[in-house]
Amino acid sequence: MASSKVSERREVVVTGIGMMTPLGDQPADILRRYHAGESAFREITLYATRGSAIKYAGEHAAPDLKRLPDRKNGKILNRRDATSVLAAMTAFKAARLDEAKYEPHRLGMFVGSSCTHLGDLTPTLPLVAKHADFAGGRFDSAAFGLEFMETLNPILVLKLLMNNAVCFGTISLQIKGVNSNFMQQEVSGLRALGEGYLAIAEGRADAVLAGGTAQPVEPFQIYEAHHCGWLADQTVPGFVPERAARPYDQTANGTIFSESTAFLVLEDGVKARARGATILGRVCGFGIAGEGEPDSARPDGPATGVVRAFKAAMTQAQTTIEKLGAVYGNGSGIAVSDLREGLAMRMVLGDRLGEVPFCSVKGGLGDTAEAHGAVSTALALAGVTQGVVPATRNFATPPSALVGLQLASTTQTLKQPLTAIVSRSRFGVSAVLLVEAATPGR
Amino acid sequence: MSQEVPSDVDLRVRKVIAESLCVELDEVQTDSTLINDLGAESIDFLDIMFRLEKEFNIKIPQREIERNARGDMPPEEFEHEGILQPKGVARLKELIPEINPGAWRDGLALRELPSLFTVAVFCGIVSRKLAGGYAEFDGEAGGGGDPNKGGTTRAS
Repeated sequence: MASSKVSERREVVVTGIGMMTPLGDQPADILRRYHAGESAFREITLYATRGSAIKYAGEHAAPDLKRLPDRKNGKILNRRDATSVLAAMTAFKAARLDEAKYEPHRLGMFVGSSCTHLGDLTPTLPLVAKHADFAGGRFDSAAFGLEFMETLNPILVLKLLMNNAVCFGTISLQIKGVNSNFMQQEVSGLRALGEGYLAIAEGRADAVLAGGTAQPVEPFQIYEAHHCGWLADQTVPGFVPERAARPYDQTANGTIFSESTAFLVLEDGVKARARGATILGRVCGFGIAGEGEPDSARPDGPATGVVRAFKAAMTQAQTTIEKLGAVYGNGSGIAVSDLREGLAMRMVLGDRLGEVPFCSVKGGLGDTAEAHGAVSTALALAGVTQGVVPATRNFATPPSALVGLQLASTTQTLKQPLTAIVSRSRFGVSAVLLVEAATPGR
Repeated sequence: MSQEVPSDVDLRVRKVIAESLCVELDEVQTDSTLINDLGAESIDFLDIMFRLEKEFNIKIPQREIERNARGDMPPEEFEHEGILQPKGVARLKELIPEINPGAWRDGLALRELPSLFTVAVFCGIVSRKLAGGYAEFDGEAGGGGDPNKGGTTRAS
Protein backbone atom coordinates (compact mmCIF):
# COMPACT_ATOMS: atom_id res chain seq x y z
CA MET A 1 0.00 0.00 0.00
CA ALA A 2 2.64 2.54 1.06
CA SER A 3 5.58 2.29 -1.28
CA SER A 4 7.29 5.67 -0.98
CA LYS A 5 9.24 6.86 2.01
CA VAL A 6 7.33 9.11 4.37
CA SER A 7 9.91 11.86 3.91
CA GLU A 8 9.37 11.84 0.15
CA ARG A 9 5.63 12.21 0.35
CA ARG A 10 3.88 15.30 -0.85
CA GLU A 11 1.54 17.24 1.39
CA VAL A 12 -2.12 16.55 0.64
CA VAL A 13 -4.71 19.22 1.33
CA VAL A 14 -8.48 19.42 1.05
CA THR A 15 -9.73 22.21 -1.20
CA GLY A 16 -13.38 21.41 -1.86
CA ILE A 17 -16.32 19.45 -0.48
CA GLY A 18 -19.59 18.32 -2.05
CA MET A 19 -22.21 16.53 0.04
CA MET A 20 -25.77 15.36 0.13
CA THR A 21 -27.27 14.12 3.40
CA PRO A 22 -30.72 14.13 4.99
CA LEU A 23 -29.53 17.08 7.11
CA GLY A 24 -28.29 19.19 4.24
CA ASP A 25 -25.46 19.57 1.79
CA GLN A 26 -22.98 21.86 3.57
CA PRO A 27 -20.76 20.41 6.31
CA ALA A 28 -21.10 23.39 8.65
CA ASP A 29 -24.86 23.50 8.15
CA ILE A 30 -25.21 19.75 8.74
CA LEU A 31 -23.25 20.08 11.97
CA ARG A 32 -25.34 23.08 13.05
CA ARG A 33 -28.56 21.12 12.49
CA TYR A 34 -27.07 18.08 14.21
CA HIS A 35 -26.02 20.17 17.21
CA ALA A 36 -29.52 21.66 17.29
CA GLY A 37 -30.92 18.18 17.77
CA GLU A 38 -32.39 17.60 14.32
CA SER A 39 -32.72 14.01 13.23
CA ALA A 40 -32.38 12.54 9.76
CA PHE A 41 -35.11 9.98 10.22
CA ARG A 42 -38.50 10.17 8.55
CA GLU A 43 -41.02 7.69 7.22
CA ILE A 44 -39.59 6.09 4.11
CA THR A 45 -41.01 7.58 0.91
CA LEU A 46 -38.71 5.99 -1.66
CA TYR A 47 -40.72 2.78 -1.74
CA ALA A 48 -43.89 1.39 -0.25
CA THR A 49 -43.23 0.01 3.23
CA ARG A 50 -46.64 -1.59 3.74
CA GLY A 51 -46.08 -4.90 5.48
CA SER A 52 -42.47 -4.13 6.29
CA ALA A 53 -41.11 -3.96 9.82
CA ILE A 54 -38.84 -1.09 8.80
CA LYS A 55 -40.61 2.16 8.02
CA TYR A 56 -38.10 4.83 9.02
CA ALA A 57 -34.79 5.84 7.51
CA GLY A 58 -32.89 8.91 6.42
CA GLU A 59 -33.60 10.21 2.93
CA HIS A 60 -31.93 13.18 1.36
CA ALA A 61 -33.52 15.47 -1.22
CA ALA A 62 -33.96 14.09 -4.70
CA PRO A 63 -30.94 14.75 -6.90
CA ASP A 64 -31.52 17.59 -9.35
CA LEU A 65 -31.07 15.65 -12.57
CA LYS A 66 -31.16 18.83 -14.63
CA ARG A 67 -27.75 19.69 -13.20
CA LEU A 68 -26.18 16.61 -14.76
CA PRO A 69 -23.88 17.51 -17.65
CA ASP A 70 -25.72 15.42 -20.22
CA ARG A 71 -29.50 15.52 -20.17
CA LYS A 72 -29.71 11.79 -20.76
CA ASN A 73 -27.49 10.94 -17.79
CA GLY A 74 -30.61 11.17 -15.68
CA LYS A 75 -32.17 8.10 -17.18
CA ILE A 76 -29.02 5.97 -17.07
CA LEU A 77 -27.87 6.90 -13.58
CA ASN A 78 -29.74 5.54 -10.59
CA ARG A 79 -30.45 7.72 -7.56
CA ARG A 80 -27.20 6.79 -5.85
CA ASP A 81 -24.98 7.42 -8.84
CA ALA A 82 -26.73 10.60 -9.93
CA THR A 83 -26.33 11.98 -6.41
CA SER A 84 -22.72 10.92 -6.46
CA VAL A 85 -21.93 12.65 -9.75
CA LEU A 86 -23.67 15.82 -8.58
CA ALA A 87 -21.79 15.88 -5.27
CA ALA A 88 -18.52 15.31 -7.10
CA MET A 89 -19.32 18.19 -9.43
CA THR A 90 -20.10 20.40 -6.44
CA ALA A 91 -16.78 19.57 -4.80
CA PHE A 92 -14.95 20.11 -8.07
CA LYS A 93 -16.51 23.55 -8.46
CA ALA A 94 -16.04 24.46 -4.80
CA ALA A 95 -12.32 23.76 -5.18
CA ARG A 96 -12.30 25.80 -8.39
CA LEU A 97 -10.64 22.87 -10.11
CA ASP A 98 -12.44 23.93 -13.28
CA GLU A 99 -10.17 26.99 -13.29
CA ALA A 100 -7.02 25.10 -12.37
CA LYS A 101 -4.58 24.17 -15.09
CA TYR A 102 -4.06 20.53 -14.22
CA GLU A 103 -3.49 18.06 -17.00
CA PRO A 104 -6.53 15.74 -17.17
CA HIS A 105 -4.30 12.70 -16.70
CA ARG A 106 -3.03 14.19 -13.41
CA LEU A 107 -6.57 14.37 -12.07
CA GLY A 108 -7.94 11.26 -10.39
CA MET A 109 -11.17 10.01 -8.92
CA PHE A 110 -11.83 7.40 -6.26
CA VAL A 111 -15.31 6.36 -5.25
CA GLY A 112 -16.43 4.15 -2.41
CA SER A 113 -19.82 2.57 -2.84
CA SER A 114 -21.83 -0.57 -2.45
CA CYS A 115 -21.89 -2.99 -5.34
CA THR A 116 -24.92 -2.75 -7.58
CA HIS A 117 -27.57 -0.42 -6.28
CA LEU A 118 -30.65 -2.61 -6.33
CA GLY A 119 -33.32 0.01 -5.70
CA ASP A 120 -34.35 0.02 -9.33
CA LEU A 121 -35.21 -3.66 -9.09
CA THR A 122 -37.97 -2.90 -6.60
CA PRO A 123 -40.68 -3.41 -9.26
CA THR A 124 -39.59 -7.03 -9.51
CA LEU A 125 -40.57 -7.82 -5.94
CA PRO A 126 -44.21 -8.64 -6.76
CA LEU A 127 -42.90 -10.93 -9.49
CA VAL A 128 -40.67 -12.70 -7.00
CA ALA A 129 -43.66 -13.26 -4.77
CA LYS A 130 -45.75 -14.38 -7.72
CA HIS A 131 -43.35 -17.11 -8.74
CA ALA A 132 -42.33 -18.21 -5.27
CA ASP A 133 -43.88 -21.12 -3.48
CA PHE A 134 -43.04 -20.04 0.02
CA ALA A 135 -44.69 -23.02 1.68
CA GLY A 136 -42.92 -25.49 -0.56
CA GLY A 137 -39.62 -23.63 -0.58
CA ARG A 138 -39.50 -23.49 -4.37
CA PHE A 139 -39.02 -20.73 -6.89
CA ASP A 140 -39.95 -20.95 -10.56
CA SER A 141 -36.95 -19.11 -11.93
CA ALA A 142 -37.80 -19.87 -15.57
CA ALA A 143 -41.25 -18.31 -15.35
CA PHE A 144 -39.86 -15.47 -13.29
CA GLY A 145 -37.16 -14.81 -15.83
CA LEU A 146 -39.55 -14.60 -18.75
CA GLU A 147 -41.86 -12.21 -16.98
CA PHE A 148 -38.93 -10.27 -15.55
CA MET A 149 -37.59 -9.57 -19.01
CA GLU A 150 -40.94 -8.23 -20.14
CA THR A 151 -41.46 -6.13 -17.05
CA LEU A 152 -38.23 -4.21 -16.83
CA ASN A 153 -36.90 -1.72 -19.30
CA PRO A 154 -33.73 -3.20 -20.84
CA ILE A 155 -31.96 0.09 -20.18
CA LEU A 156 -32.02 -0.93 -16.52
CA VAL A 157 -28.94 -3.01 -17.26
CA LEU A 158 -26.99 0.21 -17.62
CA LYS A 159 -28.34 1.52 -14.34
CA LEU A 160 -27.11 -1.56 -12.56
CA LEU A 161 -23.50 -1.18 -13.63
CA MET A 162 -21.57 -1.05 -10.39
CA ASN A 163 -19.03 1.64 -11.18
CA ASN A 164 -21.24 4.21 -12.87
CA ALA A 165 -20.40 6.84 -10.29
CA VAL A 166 -16.72 6.86 -11.18
CA CYS A 167 -17.41 6.38 -14.90
CA PHE A 168 -19.81 9.27 -15.24
CA GLY A 169 -17.91 11.38 -12.71
CA THR A 170 -14.66 11.13 -14.64
CA ILE A 171 -16.36 11.66 -17.99
CA SER A 172 -18.33 14.65 -16.72
CA LEU A 173 -15.31 16.34 -15.20
CA GLN A 174 -12.71 15.38 -17.79
CA ILE A 175 -10.72 13.38 -15.26
CA LYS A 176 -8.36 11.03 -17.07
CA GLY A 177 -5.89 10.01 -14.38
CA VAL A 178 -5.86 7.34 -11.69
CA ASN A 179 -9.29 6.13 -10.71
CA SER A 180 -11.08 3.29 -9.02
CA ASN A 181 -14.34 2.30 -7.39
CA PHE A 182 -13.97 0.55 -4.05
CA MET A 183 -16.76 -1.72 -2.89
CA GLN A 184 -15.78 -2.81 0.57
CA GLN A 185 -18.94 -2.37 2.59
CA GLU A 186 -18.80 0.41 5.15
CA VAL A 187 -15.08 0.97 4.64
CA SER A 188 -15.55 1.94 0.98
CA GLY A 189 -15.78 5.71 1.37
CA LEU A 190 -12.82 6.06 3.71
CA ARG A 191 -10.79 3.69 1.56
CA ALA A 192 -11.47 5.93 -1.44
CA LEU A 193 -10.24 8.95 0.50
CA GLY A 194 -7.19 7.06 1.71
CA GLU A 195 -6.28 5.84 -1.75
CA GLY A 196 -6.77 9.36 -3.10
CA TYR A 197 -4.48 10.67 -0.41
CA LEU A 198 -1.82 8.11 -1.27
CA ALA A 199 -2.11 8.80 -5.01
CA ILE A 200 -1.21 12.43 -4.42
CA ALA A 201 1.28 11.81 -1.63
CA GLU A 202 3.17 9.36 -3.84
CA GLY A 203 3.07 11.59 -6.90
CA ARG A 204 0.60 9.66 -9.02
CA ALA A 205 -1.84 12.57 -9.25
CA ASP A 206 -1.98 16.29 -8.57
CA ALA A 207 -5.60 16.39 -7.50
CA VAL A 208 -8.16 13.71 -6.75
CA LEU A 209 -11.88 13.67 -6.19
CA ALA A 210 -12.52 11.08 -3.52
CA GLY A 211 -15.48 10.11 -1.44
CA GLY A 212 -18.26 7.71 -0.75
CA THR A 213 -21.85 7.27 -1.69
CA ALA A 214 -24.60 5.13 -0.19
CA GLN A 215 -28.25 4.68 -0.93
CA PRO A 216 -29.25 1.87 1.40
CA VAL A 217 -32.86 3.02 1.64
CA GLU A 218 -34.27 0.43 -0.75
CA PRO A 219 -36.05 -2.81 0.01
CA PHE A 220 -33.21 -5.21 -0.75
CA GLN A 221 -30.62 -3.68 1.56
CA ILE A 222 -33.18 -2.85 4.21
CA TYR A 223 -34.43 -6.43 4.20
CA GLU A 224 -30.92 -7.88 4.28
CA ALA A 225 -29.93 -5.64 7.19
CA HIS A 226 -33.16 -6.38 9.03
CA HIS A 227 -32.73 -10.09 8.46
CA CYS A 228 -29.16 -9.93 9.79
CA GLY A 229 -30.31 -8.07 12.89
CA TRP A 230 -28.39 -4.89 12.13
CA LEU A 231 -31.38 -2.55 12.19
CA ALA A 232 -33.04 -1.23 15.31
CA ASP A 233 -36.36 -2.91 15.98
CA GLN A 234 -38.96 -0.46 14.73
CA THR A 235 -41.90 -2.56 15.84
CA VAL A 236 -41.43 -2.14 19.57
CA PRO A 237 -44.22 -0.22 21.32
CA GLY A 238 -43.43 3.45 21.65
CA PHE A 239 -40.73 3.32 18.98
CA VAL A 240 -39.18 6.76 18.46
CA PRO A 241 -36.86 6.87 15.43
CA GLU A 242 -34.86 9.78 16.83
CA ARG A 243 -33.85 7.60 19.78
CA ALA A 244 -33.46 4.28 18.04
CA ALA A 245 -29.80 4.30 17.02
CA ARG A 246 -27.67 4.51 20.18
CA PRO A 247 -23.95 4.25 19.31
CA TYR A 248 -21.74 2.79 22.04
CA ASP A 249 -24.62 2.75 24.53
CA GLN A 250 -25.29 -0.31 26.65
CA THR A 251 -28.88 -0.39 25.33
CA ALA A 252 -27.85 -0.30 21.66
CA ASN A 253 -29.86 -2.74 19.58
CA GLY A 254 -29.35 -1.72 15.99
CA THR A 255 -29.04 1.13 13.59
CA ILE A 256 -31.11 3.13 11.11
CA PHE A 257 -29.94 3.57 7.53
CA SER A 258 -29.50 6.91 5.84
CA GLU A 259 -28.59 7.69 2.29
CA SER A 260 -25.69 10.11 1.94
CA THR A 261 -22.87 11.09 -0.34
CA ALA A 262 -19.72 13.10 0.26
CA PHE A 263 -16.81 13.96 -2.00
CA LEU A 264 -13.65 15.84 -1.12
CA VAL A 265 -11.14 17.37 -3.47
CA LEU A 266 -7.67 16.32 -2.34
CA GLU A 267 -4.82 18.23 -3.84
CA ASP A 268 -1.06 18.55 -3.79
CA GLY A 269 -0.49 21.20 -1.13
CA VAL A 270 2.22 23.05 -3.00
CA LYS A 271 0.20 23.23 -6.20
CA ALA A 272 -2.99 24.17 -4.38
CA ARG A 273 -1.32 27.10 -2.66
CA ALA A 274 0.36 28.15 -5.88
CA ARG A 275 -3.00 28.52 -7.56
CA GLY A 276 -4.51 30.33 -4.60
CA ALA A 277 -6.93 27.58 -3.60
CA THR A 278 -8.71 27.80 -0.26
CA ILE A 279 -7.21 25.16 2.02
CA LEU A 280 -9.88 23.52 4.15
CA GLY A 281 -7.61 21.02 5.82
CA ARG A 282 -4.88 18.50 5.43
CA VAL A 283 -4.92 14.72 5.14
CA CYS A 284 -2.01 13.38 7.15
CA GLY A 285 -2.21 9.61 7.11
CA PHE A 286 -4.20 6.55 6.17
CA GLY A 287 -4.24 2.96 7.27
CA ILE A 288 -6.36 -0.05 6.44
CA ALA A 289 -6.20 -3.54 7.88
CA GLY A 290 -8.18 -6.73 7.75
CA GLU A 291 -9.11 -8.83 10.72
CA GLY A 292 -9.60 -12.10 8.92
CA GLU A 293 -13.00 -12.66 10.47
CA PRO A 294 -16.34 -10.94 10.75
CA ASP A 295 -17.62 -9.38 13.96
CA SER A 296 -19.87 -12.36 14.52
CA ALA A 297 -16.84 -14.68 14.80
CA ARG A 298 -15.37 -12.84 17.78
CA PRO A 299 -18.15 -10.73 19.25
CA ASP A 300 -16.41 -9.87 22.48
CA GLY A 301 -12.88 -9.17 21.26
CA PRO A 302 -11.27 -5.99 19.96
CA ALA A 303 -11.34 -5.18 16.26
CA THR A 304 -7.61 -5.58 15.81
CA GLY A 305 -7.81 -4.05 12.35
CA VAL A 306 -8.55 -0.70 13.96
CA VAL A 307 -5.35 -0.93 16.01
CA ARG A 308 -3.20 -1.79 13.01
CA ALA A 309 -4.87 0.77 10.74
CA PHE A 310 -4.31 3.43 13.40
CA LYS A 311 -0.66 2.52 13.69
CA ALA A 312 -0.15 2.72 9.93
CA ALA A 313 -1.92 6.08 9.71
CA MET A 314 0.08 7.51 12.61
CA THR A 315 3.34 6.34 11.05
CA GLN A 316 2.47 7.99 7.77
CA ALA A 317 1.53 11.17 9.55
CA GLN A 318 4.78 11.05 11.54
CA THR A 319 2.81 11.83 14.64
CA THR A 320 1.93 10.23 17.94
CA ILE A 321 -1.22 9.57 19.88
CA GLU A 322 -0.34 12.54 22.12
CA LYS A 323 -1.21 14.88 19.25
CA LEU A 324 -4.62 13.35 18.62
CA GLY A 325 -7.50 15.75 19.26
CA ALA A 326 -10.59 13.67 18.53
CA VAL A 327 -11.87 10.45 16.98
CA TYR A 328 -14.95 10.18 14.79
CA GLY A 329 -15.86 6.56 15.29
CA ASN A 330 -17.80 4.09 13.23
CA GLY A 331 -20.34 3.42 16.00
CA SER A 332 -23.80 2.93 14.62
CA GLY A 333 -25.74 1.31 17.44
CA ILE A 334 -25.00 -2.26 16.38
CA ALA A 335 -23.85 -3.53 19.74
CA VAL A 336 -21.27 -6.09 18.64
CA SER A 337 -19.57 -3.80 16.15
CA ASP A 338 -19.55 -0.86 18.54
CA LEU A 339 -18.11 -3.01 21.30
CA ARG A 340 -15.33 -4.41 19.12
CA GLU A 341 -14.45 -0.95 17.86
CA GLY A 342 -14.51 0.49 21.38
CA LEU A 343 -12.26 -2.24 22.72
CA ALA A 344 -9.80 -1.55 19.93
CA MET A 345 -9.91 2.16 20.71
CA ARG A 346 -9.00 1.44 24.30
CA MET A 347 -5.86 -0.24 22.99
CA VAL A 348 -5.14 2.62 20.57
CA LEU A 349 -5.62 5.46 23.04
CA GLY A 350 -3.91 3.82 26.00
CA ASP A 351 -3.13 6.42 28.62
CA ARG A 352 -5.08 9.04 26.70
CA LEU A 353 -8.31 7.06 26.87
CA GLY A 354 -10.08 9.63 29.00
CA GLU A 355 -8.63 12.66 27.24
CA VAL A 356 -9.46 12.22 23.57
CA PRO A 357 -13.07 13.02 22.67
CA PHE A 358 -14.63 10.10 20.86
CA CYS A 359 -17.91 10.44 18.95
CA SER A 360 -20.29 9.07 16.35
CA VAL A 361 -22.88 11.12 14.49
CA LYS A 362 -24.95 8.12 13.42
CA GLY A 363 -27.48 8.49 16.23
CA GLY A 364 -28.78 11.60 14.52
CA LEU A 365 -27.57 11.35 10.96
CA GLY A 366 -28.05 7.62 10.54
CA ASP A 367 -25.87 4.79 9.35
CA THR A 368 -24.56 6.13 6.07
CA ALA A 369 -22.97 2.80 5.18
CA GLU A 370 -20.39 3.14 2.42
CA ALA A 371 -20.49 6.93 2.64
CA HIS A 372 -19.73 7.00 6.37
CA GLY A 373 -15.99 7.66 6.14
CA ALA A 374 -16.33 10.49 3.67
CA VAL A 375 -19.29 12.06 5.48
CA SER A 376 -17.46 11.92 8.82
CA THR A 377 -14.29 13.36 7.29
CA ALA A 378 -16.20 16.33 5.90
CA LEU A 379 -17.95 16.86 9.23
CA ALA A 380 -14.68 16.45 11.13
CA LEU A 381 -13.09 19.24 9.11
CA ALA A 382 -16.07 21.46 9.89
CA GLY A 383 -15.94 20.38 13.53
CA VAL A 384 -12.26 21.20 13.84
CA THR A 385 -12.88 24.59 12.30
CA GLN A 386 -15.61 25.21 14.87
CA GLY A 387 -13.45 23.79 17.67
CA VAL A 388 -16.02 21.20 18.64
CA VAL A 389 -16.56 17.48 18.65
CA PRO A 390 -20.19 16.51 18.03
CA ALA A 391 -22.28 14.85 20.69
CA THR A 392 -22.88 11.13 20.35
CA ARG A 393 -26.64 11.33 20.11
CA ASN A 394 -28.59 8.87 22.29
CA PHE A 395 -25.48 7.78 24.17
CA ALA A 396 -26.00 7.61 27.93
CA THR A 397 -24.15 4.71 29.52
CA PRO A 398 -21.51 2.54 27.88
CA PRO A 399 -21.26 -1.19 28.34
CA SER A 400 -18.79 -1.91 31.12
CA ALA A 401 -16.04 -2.84 28.67
CA LEU A 402 -16.12 0.62 27.13
CA VAL A 403 -16.10 2.64 30.34
CA GLY A 404 -13.39 5.26 30.13
CA LEU A 405 -13.80 6.23 26.49
CA GLN A 406 -14.43 9.96 26.23
CA LEU A 407 -17.96 9.64 24.84
CA ALA A 408 -20.56 12.32 25.56
CA SER A 409 -24.16 13.02 24.76
CA THR A 410 -23.29 16.70 24.51
CA THR A 411 -20.88 18.61 22.32
CA GLN A 412 -17.27 18.36 23.46
CA THR A 413 -14.47 20.86 23.07
CA LEU A 414 -11.69 20.09 20.64
CA LYS A 415 -8.29 20.84 22.10
CA GLN A 416 -6.02 19.66 19.30
CA PRO A 417 -6.84 19.74 15.58
CA LEU A 418 -5.57 16.33 14.56
CA THR A 419 -8.65 14.18 14.07
CA ALA A 420 -9.02 10.51 13.23
CA ILE A 421 -11.92 9.04 11.31
CA VAL A 422 -12.54 5.34 11.84
CA SER A 423 -14.52 3.21 9.45
CA ARG A 424 -15.26 -0.46 9.92
CA SER A 425 -16.91 -3.20 8.00
CA ARG A 426 -18.83 -5.75 10.02
CA PHE A 427 -17.06 -8.32 7.86
CA GLY A 428 -13.68 -7.54 9.36
CA VAL A 429 -11.92 -4.64 7.65
CA SER A 430 -11.03 -1.37 9.36
CA ALA A 431 -9.61 1.89 8.09
CA VAL A 432 -8.37 5.08 9.70
CA LEU A 433 -7.82 8.49 8.12
CA LEU A 434 -6.07 11.34 9.91
CA VAL A 435 -7.04 14.90 9.03
CA GLU A 436 -6.33 18.33 10.35
CA ALA A 437 -8.40 21.40 9.54
CA ALA A 438 -6.64 24.47 8.28
CA THR A 439 -8.14 26.83 10.82
CA PRO A 440 -8.84 25.12 14.11
CA GLY A 441 -11.28 27.18 16.10
CA ARG A 442 -9.52 27.19 19.39
CA MET B 1 -57.15 -8.76 -34.40
CA SER B 2 -57.71 -5.15 -35.22
CA GLN B 3 -58.98 -2.51 -32.90
CA GLU B 4 -59.76 1.16 -33.09
CA VAL B 5 -56.67 3.34 -33.13
CA PRO B 6 -56.90 6.07 -30.51
CA SER B 7 -56.89 9.58 -31.87
CA ASP B 8 -54.17 10.73 -29.52
CA VAL B 9 -51.49 8.28 -30.65
CA ASP B 10 -49.23 10.96 -32.07
CA LEU B 11 -49.25 13.01 -28.90
CA ARG B 12 -48.65 10.01 -26.69
CA VAL B 13 -45.78 8.81 -28.89
CA ARG B 14 -44.24 12.29 -28.79
CA LYS B 15 -44.52 12.28 -24.99
CA VAL B 16 -42.85 8.88 -24.75
CA ILE B 17 -40.00 9.98 -26.98
CA ALA B 18 -39.60 13.27 -25.12
CA GLU B 19 -39.41 11.43 -21.82
CA SER B 20 -36.99 8.85 -23.13
CA LEU B 21 -34.64 11.39 -24.67
CA CYS B 22 -35.04 13.85 -21.79
CA VAL B 23 -36.14 16.69 -24.06
CA GLU B 24 -39.09 19.06 -23.95
CA LEU B 25 -42.24 17.93 -25.70
CA ASP B 26 -42.11 20.96 -28.00
CA GLU B 27 -38.81 19.74 -29.37
CA VAL B 28 -40.39 16.49 -30.49
CA GLN B 29 -42.21 17.15 -33.74
CA THR B 30 -43.51 14.46 -36.01
CA ASP B 31 -40.90 15.28 -38.62
CA SER B 32 -38.01 15.32 -36.13
CA THR B 33 -35.41 12.68 -36.84
CA LEU B 34 -34.49 10.82 -33.69
CA ILE B 35 -30.75 10.68 -34.22
CA ASN B 36 -29.93 13.96 -35.94
CA ASP B 37 -32.58 16.22 -34.44
CA LEU B 38 -33.17 14.70 -31.01
CA GLY B 39 -29.78 13.17 -30.25
CA ALA B 40 -30.94 9.59 -29.87
CA GLU B 41 -28.39 6.78 -29.65
CA SER B 42 -28.89 3.11 -30.37
CA ILE B 43 -29.68 2.31 -26.73
CA ASP B 44 -32.43 4.93 -26.83
CA PHE B 45 -34.27 3.01 -29.54
CA LEU B 46 -34.45 0.04 -27.21
CA ASP B 47 -35.76 2.29 -24.46
CA ILE B 48 -38.32 3.95 -26.71
CA MET B 49 -39.63 0.64 -27.98
CA PHE B 50 -40.01 -0.64 -24.43
CA ARG B 51 -41.81 2.49 -23.34
CA LEU B 52 -44.14 2.38 -26.36
CA GLU B 53 -44.97 -1.24 -25.60
CA LYS B 54 -45.96 -0.27 -22.08
CA GLU B 55 -47.78 2.89 -23.08
CA PHE B 56 -49.94 1.19 -25.70
CA ASN B 57 -49.92 -2.38 -24.41
CA ILE B 58 -48.46 -3.69 -27.62
CA LYS B 59 -45.53 -5.90 -28.56
CA ILE B 60 -42.80 -4.72 -30.89
CA PRO B 61 -40.39 -7.62 -31.32
CA GLN B 62 -36.80 -6.74 -32.03
CA ARG B 63 -36.02 -6.19 -35.73
CA GLU B 64 -39.61 -6.95 -36.63
CA ILE B 65 -39.71 -4.53 -39.52
CA GLU B 66 -36.49 -5.84 -41.00
CA ARG B 67 -37.65 -9.42 -40.71
CA ASN B 68 -40.93 -8.56 -42.32
CA ALA B 69 -39.11 -6.72 -45.07
CA ARG B 70 -36.80 -9.62 -45.73
CA GLY B 71 -39.64 -12.13 -45.70
CA ASP B 72 -38.81 -14.90 -48.13
CA MET B 73 -36.75 -12.61 -50.31
CA PRO B 74 -33.29 -14.01 -51.15
CA PRO B 75 -30.87 -12.28 -48.79
CA GLU B 76 -28.76 -10.76 -51.57
CA GLU B 77 -31.84 -9.07 -53.02
CA PHE B 78 -32.51 -7.38 -49.69
CA GLU B 79 -28.99 -6.25 -48.92
CA HIS B 80 -25.52 -6.98 -50.21
CA GLU B 81 -22.51 -6.52 -47.95
CA GLY B 82 -24.62 -4.35 -45.73
CA ILE B 83 -25.94 -2.10 -48.50
CA LEU B 84 -29.68 -2.10 -49.10
CA GLN B 85 -30.69 -3.27 -52.55
CA PRO B 86 -33.56 -1.80 -54.61
CA LYS B 87 -35.97 -4.62 -53.75
CA GLY B 88 -35.13 -4.26 -50.11
CA VAL B 89 -35.66 -0.52 -50.21
CA ALA B 90 -38.96 -0.96 -51.99
CA ARG B 91 -40.17 -3.38 -49.37
CA LEU B 92 -39.07 -1.12 -46.54
CA LYS B 93 -40.87 1.81 -48.11
CA GLU B 94 -44.05 -0.23 -48.03
CA LEU B 95 -43.59 -1.13 -44.40
CA ILE B 96 -42.43 2.29 -43.20
CA PRO B 97 -44.23 4.78 -45.44
CA GLU B 98 -43.62 7.61 -42.96
CA ILE B 99 -39.95 7.85 -43.91
CA ASN B 100 -39.44 10.93 -46.05
CA PRO B 101 -39.17 9.65 -49.65
CA GLY B 102 -36.32 12.07 -50.22
CA ALA B 103 -34.32 10.48 -47.41
CA TRP B 104 -33.81 7.22 -49.27
CA ARG B 105 -30.58 7.34 -51.22
CA ASP B 106 -28.51 4.96 -53.24
CA GLY B 107 -25.95 3.01 -51.27
CA LEU B 108 -27.80 3.34 -47.97
CA ALA B 109 -26.49 0.81 -45.49
CA LEU B 110 -28.94 -1.27 -43.49
CA ARG B 111 -27.27 -0.07 -40.29
CA GLU B 112 -28.03 3.51 -41.35
CA LEU B 113 -31.75 2.88 -41.51
CA PRO B 114 -32.44 4.22 -37.99
CA SER B 115 -31.00 7.57 -39.06
CA LEU B 116 -34.04 7.97 -41.32
CA PHE B 117 -36.49 7.38 -38.50
CA THR B 118 -38.62 10.35 -37.59
CA VAL B 119 -41.16 10.60 -34.82
CA ALA B 120 -43.79 9.95 -37.47
CA VAL B 121 -42.24 6.52 -38.07
CA PHE B 122 -42.93 5.53 -34.48
CA CYS B 123 -46.44 6.97 -34.67
CA GLY B 124 -46.99 4.83 -37.74
CA ILE B 125 -45.58 1.69 -36.14
CA VAL B 126 -47.79 2.11 -33.09
CA SER B 127 -50.88 2.88 -35.17
CA ARG B 128 -50.36 -0.18 -37.32
CA LYS B 129 -49.83 -2.30 -34.26
CA LEU B 130 -53.00 -1.03 -32.69
CA ALA B 131 -54.86 -1.62 -35.92
CA GLY B 132 -53.85 -5.25 -36.08
CA GLY B 133 -50.12 -5.29 -36.35
CA TYR B 134 -47.79 -5.97 -39.21
CA ALA B 135 -49.07 -8.73 -41.42
CA GLU B 136 -47.41 -11.98 -40.57
CA PHE B 137 -44.66 -12.32 -43.10
CA ASP B 138 -43.04 -15.62 -42.65
CA GLY B 139 -39.64 -16.22 -44.17
CA GLU B 140 -39.48 -19.63 -42.59
CA ALA B 141 -42.51 -21.66 -43.53
CA GLY B 142 -44.28 -22.83 -40.47
CA GLY B 143 -42.28 -20.54 -38.20
CA GLY B 144 -43.41 -20.80 -34.68
CA GLY B 145 -43.65 -17.13 -34.00
CA ASP B 146 -40.52 -16.85 -31.90
CA PRO B 147 -39.48 -13.24 -32.42
CA ASN B 148 -35.88 -14.14 -31.74
CA LYS B 149 -35.71 -16.62 -34.59
CA GLY B 150 -36.98 -14.45 -37.37
CA GLY B 151 -39.94 -15.49 -39.40
CA THR B 152 -43.40 -15.06 -38.00
CA THR B 153 -43.92 -12.03 -35.88
CA ARG B 154 -46.70 -11.62 -33.48
CA ALA B 155 -49.20 -8.85 -33.92
CA SER B 156 -50.44 -7.35 -30.73
